[in-house]
Amino acid sequence: MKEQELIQKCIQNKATAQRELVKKYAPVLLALCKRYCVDEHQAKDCLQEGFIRIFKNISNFKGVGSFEGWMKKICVNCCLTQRKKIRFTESIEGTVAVNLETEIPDVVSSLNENDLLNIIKSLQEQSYVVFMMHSIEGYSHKEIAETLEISEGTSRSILSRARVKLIEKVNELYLTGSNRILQFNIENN
Amino acid sequence: MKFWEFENILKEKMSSSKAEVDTDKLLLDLGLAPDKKRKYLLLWLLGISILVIGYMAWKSNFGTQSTVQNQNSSTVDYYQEPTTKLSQSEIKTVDSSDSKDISSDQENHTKDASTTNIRAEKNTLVSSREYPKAVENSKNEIEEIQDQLYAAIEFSVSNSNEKSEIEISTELRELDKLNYLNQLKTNFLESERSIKNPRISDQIVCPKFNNKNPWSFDLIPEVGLQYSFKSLTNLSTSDSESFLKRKENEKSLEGIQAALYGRLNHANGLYVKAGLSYLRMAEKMEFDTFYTKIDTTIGIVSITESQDHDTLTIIYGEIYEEYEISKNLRKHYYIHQYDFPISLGYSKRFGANYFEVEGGININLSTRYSGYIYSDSETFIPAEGADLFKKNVGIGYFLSAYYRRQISNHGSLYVGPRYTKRSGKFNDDNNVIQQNYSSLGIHFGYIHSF
Repeated sequence: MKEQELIQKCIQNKATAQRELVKKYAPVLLALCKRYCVDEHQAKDCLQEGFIRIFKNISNFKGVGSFEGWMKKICVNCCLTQRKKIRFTESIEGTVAVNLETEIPDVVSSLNENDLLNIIKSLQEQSYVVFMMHSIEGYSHKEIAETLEISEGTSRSILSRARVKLIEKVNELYLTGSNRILQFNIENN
Repeated sequence: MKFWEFENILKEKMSSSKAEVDTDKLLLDLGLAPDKKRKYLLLWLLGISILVIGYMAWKSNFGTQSTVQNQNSSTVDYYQEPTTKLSQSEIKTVDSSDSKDISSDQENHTKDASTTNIRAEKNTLVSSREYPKAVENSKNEIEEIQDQLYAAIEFSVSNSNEKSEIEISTELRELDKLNYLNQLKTNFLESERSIKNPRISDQIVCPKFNNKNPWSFDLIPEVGLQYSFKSLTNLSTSDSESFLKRKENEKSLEGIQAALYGRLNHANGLYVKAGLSYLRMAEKMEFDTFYTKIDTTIGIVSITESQDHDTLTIIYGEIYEEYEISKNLRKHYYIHQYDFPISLGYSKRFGANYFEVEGGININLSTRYSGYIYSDSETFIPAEGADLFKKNVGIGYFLSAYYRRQISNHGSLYVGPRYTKRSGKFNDDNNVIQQNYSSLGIHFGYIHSF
């Protein structure tokens, strides 16, 4: 069944189409929910809630942009609702200069998905969320601002800081990588 | 590596990542019952059908044997019973003669002989073929005894002067015995006549074989061979190269069909048939193509000799050589149809032969495609997944006629032609080459009646 046909049948509440939709997109959306939730149980709850909202609002999908992107945004919203309200306590107005041309060690490109996620998760919660929404999910600053109820400037600022922090983390990991491995081995012994 | 490249790698890896999901549980949580796994449904149906048919065939074979045995034994019983009755009547007659106080040894001997013969006859199981012979033997034996007695009496009368009254009295009794034998023979012949032409008493009530249930059920496995008539129509305003090439070179091959039906028959000859059918149609695309290949080599283009023959001018340059390469391209693609046929028919019986006609509809459950179909520029693409065809072609119509021959109590074979018209188009809405089918085939089947 093609995507357009699938959407039309889901609008008509056809159970066959809804099942197919779930089977097709559930793995991708669960991976997404896992990135935004604290644990797997919460991620599954968000996925379920996400699909309920998708089926409820699928008639509002106007066909602008990808259908998968639209569903991802719904799931991200579900995850952010489930997650505790993120507090932006410190004054974070003002953009920190970050150079995207900064060289980082090539070795990071060979890391697997979990390792990469762990590096990003080492950021502060707000930085992590904004970075993920902007750089991974492709949200604009306006959309981030609306979703997180912050200003666009704050979103930009958080993203800049997150990037700077991430560059530091990657470099630190590269420089101290061998020592960490040694420490790990000693602890295990 | 630059940081933006790192971000792109992150985005690529994260976006394409998938997590393992218990889909069935998720569907249940969402209130959508997981769909039943129908992947092996047809295989299951086929397996069950084979088992049922196998069991019926086995039962039918053994059932037929036991029926034959029962029929034989009942045949023996049928002929044995009147024989036994006949013997008993004779014994009774012989016993009544005992009351006449016949005391001579000859009498006893005669009685014993006749009784022994009768008992022997009683204990013999006489088959239908042996019965006339047995009757003939019995008559001969009686006549033989009769002749012996006549001879004995004549001898006795000729010497009557020398005999006492007692002896004469005894001989007179012998004459009575002779009368008895005559009576016995008459009774015997009368019994034989009554067996040959039995009289039916008015008191006998014949059972009425009235079948109250006019319905019966048949199970029918069927195979068929059919030739498809395909029509290709271009829905576009201009004829594409793909359309022209396919119209000219794509040929339909014979299709094969297998089906399993259930049939509900009414005593008046009408029946309703439904089942599952699989059909594979094949299309072959074959054409010759050629192209020119140009090879360039460096060589002597010309040699010029001067007039006084002392100078040779050799010019080297590119030499072009053209090769014409021809090739034969041949590809097939297949259309697999799973249908639910329902039909209404009428069956007329002439002894063990039947003539049947039926018409009905084919509800398409699913249509799949395999193989390679011509695309354009002498390239072929997989037929499945190319979005060229529909996965459900709707309803078709068919008309059949059969000749059916009964081969056993429960089984019969049939053969007949069938014309099928597929009303739905096979092409997807995006495909401008419309494809329709009709077909004519011959079908063979076995009908197992329950």
